[in-house]
Amino acid sequence: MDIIIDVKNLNAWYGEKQVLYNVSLQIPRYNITAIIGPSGCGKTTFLRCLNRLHELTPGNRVEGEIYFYGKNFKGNIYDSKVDPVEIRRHMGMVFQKPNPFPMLSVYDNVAIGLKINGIRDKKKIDEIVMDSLKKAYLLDEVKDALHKSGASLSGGQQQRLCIARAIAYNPEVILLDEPTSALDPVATSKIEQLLVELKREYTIVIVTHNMQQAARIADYTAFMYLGKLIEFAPTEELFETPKNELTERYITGKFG
Amino acid sequence: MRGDKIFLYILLFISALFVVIVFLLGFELYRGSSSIFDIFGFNFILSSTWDPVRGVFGIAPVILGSFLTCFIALILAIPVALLTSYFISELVPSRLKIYITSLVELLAAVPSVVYGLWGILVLVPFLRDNIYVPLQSAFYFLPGFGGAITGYGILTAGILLAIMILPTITSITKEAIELLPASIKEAAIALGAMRYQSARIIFTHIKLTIIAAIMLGFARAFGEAMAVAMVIGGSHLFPNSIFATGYTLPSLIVNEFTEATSPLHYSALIAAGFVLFVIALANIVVARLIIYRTTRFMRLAI
Amino acid sequence: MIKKIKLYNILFVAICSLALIITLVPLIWILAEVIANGISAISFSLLTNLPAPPGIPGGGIGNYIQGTIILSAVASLIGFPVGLLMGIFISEYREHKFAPVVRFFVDVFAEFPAIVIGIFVYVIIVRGDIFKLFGINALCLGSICIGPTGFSAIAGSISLALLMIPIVTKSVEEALNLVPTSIKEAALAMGMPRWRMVLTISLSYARGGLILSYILALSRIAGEAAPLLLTVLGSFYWFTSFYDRIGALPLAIFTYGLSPYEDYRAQAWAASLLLILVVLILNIALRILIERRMIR
Repeated sequence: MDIIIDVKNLNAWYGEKQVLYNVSLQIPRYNITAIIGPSGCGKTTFLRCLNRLHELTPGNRVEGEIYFYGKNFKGNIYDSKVDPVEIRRHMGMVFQKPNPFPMLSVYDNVAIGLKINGIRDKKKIDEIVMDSLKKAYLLDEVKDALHKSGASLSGGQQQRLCIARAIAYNPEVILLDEPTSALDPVATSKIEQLLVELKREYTIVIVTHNMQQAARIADYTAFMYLGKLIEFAPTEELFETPKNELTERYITGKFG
Repeated sequence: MRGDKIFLYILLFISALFVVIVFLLGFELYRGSSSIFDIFGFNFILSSTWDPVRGVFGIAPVILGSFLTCFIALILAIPVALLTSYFISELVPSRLKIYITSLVELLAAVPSVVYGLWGILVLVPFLRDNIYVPLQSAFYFLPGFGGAITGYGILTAGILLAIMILPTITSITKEAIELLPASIKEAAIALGAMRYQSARIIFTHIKLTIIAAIMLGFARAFGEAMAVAMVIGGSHLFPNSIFATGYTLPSLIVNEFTEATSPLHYSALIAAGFVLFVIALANIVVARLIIYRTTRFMRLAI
Repeated sequence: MIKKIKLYNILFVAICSLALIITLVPLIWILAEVIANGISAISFSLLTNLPAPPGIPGGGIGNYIQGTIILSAVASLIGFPVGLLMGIFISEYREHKFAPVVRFFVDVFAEFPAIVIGIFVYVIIVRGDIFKLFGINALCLGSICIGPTGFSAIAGSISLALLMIPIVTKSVEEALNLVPTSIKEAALAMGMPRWRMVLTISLSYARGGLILSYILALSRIAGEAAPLLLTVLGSFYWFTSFYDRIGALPLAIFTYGLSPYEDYRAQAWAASLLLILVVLILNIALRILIERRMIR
């Protein structure tokens, strides 16, 4: 198995409260890995540790190692010499609630990531923006509205805009934090199709509270409970022959 | 309930009285200055002759002085205020934040006469000896660098006003940054934005509020009377150098009101107050409408 | 590329810190000058004596302190209740169609230059134009007449009260907005009329905020000079009547600061120290109350 992210003994705290306990997990390249579990199990925190977002809230703390084997970066992202900003440029993130920049146009929402990463060439930016919108299945719907505010789109369109924004600067990993929880079923299925399409070029890690969603799109699934990783396996295996009793009870709907 | 009705009527009466007083303020200021506008018309604003003895009044240099001092103050204060507000809201550790915020608020709480006293006894000699004199001896050959240096003047007033409006612009901007939803700041960070890059994104999102903050800062500088009156030197001439003395509308009123000689002189000062009132009012109303609009917009957008 | 961006970043943080320093230097400078010059000038006799002509020792600023206390007290008596009632109106009756109008006028009025309010009070009260508006010289009820007051303590108090009203109104509104709806609904559900609910439940829940709004307004008007110059003009003597001129600390700072005499300037520093101390003490008291959560 070709591993892109190797998490070793990850512990995390919210102030005094520990929310992750010794999580170790290997995320395979060009696959969709889903993280499921009842709310409060630490799955979002786990995701936010992967691009060092968790530590930004004052009082929060992370211990452990996460090895990232990217094209231009290989090593422990929690090494003291590593600049978190650089790590974030190798990973795109999509949040639970669609959060396009409301004061920027649809076009600029995608272009801003490129500008941040130092691309100045107008033609190149233009090309990448169109390409990203196309990849996010959004271009046809917004090609007449490229200069309207990002906030003027529908919820599902906004979320796909956020995906386009996340893939524009060509990260290697896309992190998604319950990206469809605020959307209707039609918009949800569009995004699911999109993710399956995207895994050819990107590694995808998705946190979801929806087991069916994990079963539909994920290649690997991790089940977390009370801040601990309970089980991690290929999706089919985890859903059909869970090894842990907690996992079985969760996926059969006996709790949470 | 009868009690409820009576209570509401009391509240309504008081509030309506207040609204009437605000209208009355504009009306009385206009009425108090009407004799000036009857005699001089627009020449009151366009002419530069101010001679209470002959009874001729024109405030063009004073209006210019008002705008010049405010312009200097804004040029100096805006960049400092924006960077300070970003520093306080995003870069300072949260434990220190309370103390730095209180210090900035304290800056706003210092009475303006105290600024004026410090201005006249400390800032004026400091600027004269350490800035203006060397500046003139270095650039004496350039136009606008000549004339006598007293330390008093339009430039000094502008610098003092910049200090005074810093907290106004800083605290409104800081509040806007803090009200900006975390999701937007996180989106920027997740894109791998460096500090100065996310600062730019943040400022783009609050640019209307920043404009409103600047307008309110302008209104405060434009209406500031005591501190300016103490350091501006007092002159009804158009400035002929960057060290020139001058007047602003409020400082003119403060300096001459206690010594006004004739009813027409009083009217001229009230008329200056009316002009001040109109300009300040336009500013405040626009700034307020922007702030109302942006708070509603932010609520809708997120 | 990344290196260049990193350099920008360090530069940016450095510039931001510099900006904060630039903001704070004047404050520290002003405080240092006021404290240093003020302490060396202050003495017990200074605080209790009347002013003396320049050059003659033993002069004081006692009447100015007295004047500021009287002016602030009368202004509070007028301004606070009015501000409180208006704050109640725009918070508790925010669904009323007139409420947004009042809020807008308060917001705008709060930013008016103080000198404009001074001119207004001069015109209508000191000079008495309000009576001329109705074609009379004074309003008489039997033998009691209210007419143009001339430069007087009462006119000064009114101008300070006008300055105070919007500050009080806005912070009262904020304080009342924090009262949980559930508490109000519980009171209404008991069958309590709305006005009693507001006056008992809401006001007592928000009492900390009310104290805060008063302290805020007080610390603002105590240092205000511009409107006083146009309405009371200042005085070298003790308070005699509300229809006479009166001294005030901010006015003393203005006239003494502009005077060429060393001892007057020293007294201006002392007066500034007193004002700053009042503002500072009020501010610190506020902060402690907020931090200890004695004020909600």
